[in-house]
Amino acid sequence: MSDKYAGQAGGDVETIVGPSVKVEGEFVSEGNIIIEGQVTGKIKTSKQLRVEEGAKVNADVAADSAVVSGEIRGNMRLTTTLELTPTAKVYGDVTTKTLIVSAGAVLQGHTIMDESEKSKGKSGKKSEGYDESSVAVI
Amino acid sequence: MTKALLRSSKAHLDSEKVKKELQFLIRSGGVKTITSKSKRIGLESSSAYSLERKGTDGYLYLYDSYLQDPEYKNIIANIEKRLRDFEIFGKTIKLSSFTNPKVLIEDDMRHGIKTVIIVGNDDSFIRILSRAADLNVTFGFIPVGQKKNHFAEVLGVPLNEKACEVISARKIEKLDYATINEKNFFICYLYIPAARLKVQCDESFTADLRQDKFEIAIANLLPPPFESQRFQLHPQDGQMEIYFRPAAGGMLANLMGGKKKKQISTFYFKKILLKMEKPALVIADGRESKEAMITIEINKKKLAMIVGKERQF
Repeated sequence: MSDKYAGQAGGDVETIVGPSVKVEGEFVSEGNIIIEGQVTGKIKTSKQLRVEEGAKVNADVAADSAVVSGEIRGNMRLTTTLELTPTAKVYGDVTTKTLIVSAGAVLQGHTIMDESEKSKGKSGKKSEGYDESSVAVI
Repeated sequence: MTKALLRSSKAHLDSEKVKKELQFLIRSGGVKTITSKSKRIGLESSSAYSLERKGTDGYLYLYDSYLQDPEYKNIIANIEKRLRDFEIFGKTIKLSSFTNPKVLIEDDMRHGIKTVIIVGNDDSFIRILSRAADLNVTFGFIPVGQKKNHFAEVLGVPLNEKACEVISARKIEKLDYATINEKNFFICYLYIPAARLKVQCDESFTADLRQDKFEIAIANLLPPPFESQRFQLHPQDGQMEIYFRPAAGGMLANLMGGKKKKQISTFYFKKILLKMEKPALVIADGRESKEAMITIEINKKKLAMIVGKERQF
C-alpha cells in the first residue's frame, strides 16, 4: 500500500475508491475507507472514512470517525470525530461526539453533539483543534 | 509330496494359531506385539506403494516434466537423498503435460496419501493447485531451478534440496483460494492489462469503470504488478483484494491526466463479478484467455500448505 495512504489512515487502509471510479450500493468495510471518486448509496465502516477533495458522496454515512475534504450529500453518524477541512461541503444531518470545522468548510443540516455517549468516555476532547476554526451551521 | 503338503498344512495351522493370538491381543490392546507378529506371518500392507512414512502421513511427490532434463539430475538426486534423511520420502510420479493431477492424487488418497509435494516451479505449482486445491490433503512445494520460482519466496520455501527442511518441519498454514468462472481454482493472482468494465462486489455494490481503461489485478499469493513495493499479502483473511488503476495511455494522456490519474482503487471481496465492455485479455494464475465476464468466489474451505519461516504473510 502506498505510504501516503498508510500515513493518512493509521497504516490500516483497506478500501480506496479512486478519482475516476463511480460506486453505487451499500459500501460496507471493516477497515478504513478513502474516497476520491463518487459513491452513491450507503457507506458503513467501523474505522475511519476520508473523503478527499474532488470526491462526491451521495450517501448516508456511518463510521467511527471521518475527515471530509470533498462533498457529502447525506446524513452522517460518527462514533467519535468529524473533521471538516476548508474544502469540505456537507449537506445533511450530523451526529458526532466531536466536531472540528476549519474556516471555509460548509455544513448545512442539523448537528447533534452526542452528549450521552461523550459523558461515558472521552469527555473534554471537544475543544481540541477549535482555536483556528470556525463553525458554520445553517 | 506328502511331506510338502504336511509342511504347508503345518505352516497354515501355525498362521491360524497366530491369527487367533492376534485377535486375543487386539481385544487386550497389545498393539506392539500385533505389529511384530503380523510382520512375521506376512500380513504387511498389500499395497504396491511401499510408502515410507513419518508419523501417519503418506507422502506423494509430483515431479514436473521439465525435471527430466539432465540439467536437473543432480538436484533431484540431492532432494531425494535429503528426503530419505528426513524419512519423508514417498511415492513419486513424473507428470506429463496431459496428466490430470487431481485424478492421480485422488487415486493415491485411497492408498493413504495425505501430503502432496509439488516438485517444480511456479507453473507446476499453479497447474496442480488450479485443479486439485479442494482435495483433502496437505500440499507442499519443492521449488527446483532458479527460473519462475516466485511463489517459493512468498511461501518462504528455499530452492532445491534446502526446501526439504521446510517440508520436514511441516509448518502448515491455511490459505484462501477461490473458484474462477465456477471452473478452475484461483490461488495466486489475476491480471487484466486494460479494460473498461463494471464490477459487482459481494452483491452489495457496483463500481463503474467504463469511463476510462483500467489495469486490474486481484492479489492473493502475489502482489499486483503495479503495487509490489512494501505490499502486504493477506492470503488468510477470508477475502481477496482487487486493485484498479487507470491504464497507462500515451505520453500526452499521461501529461494531461497528471498524478491524479494514477491513483489506485482497492476493494475487498468474497465474491466478485467483472463485466468487460469488450472481451479483454485476462491472465489468471498464468493462464491467458480472452474473457467478457469473470466471476471469482472465495471458497469456504481453505488450502492447507506447508510454509517456511521466511514466508511473506
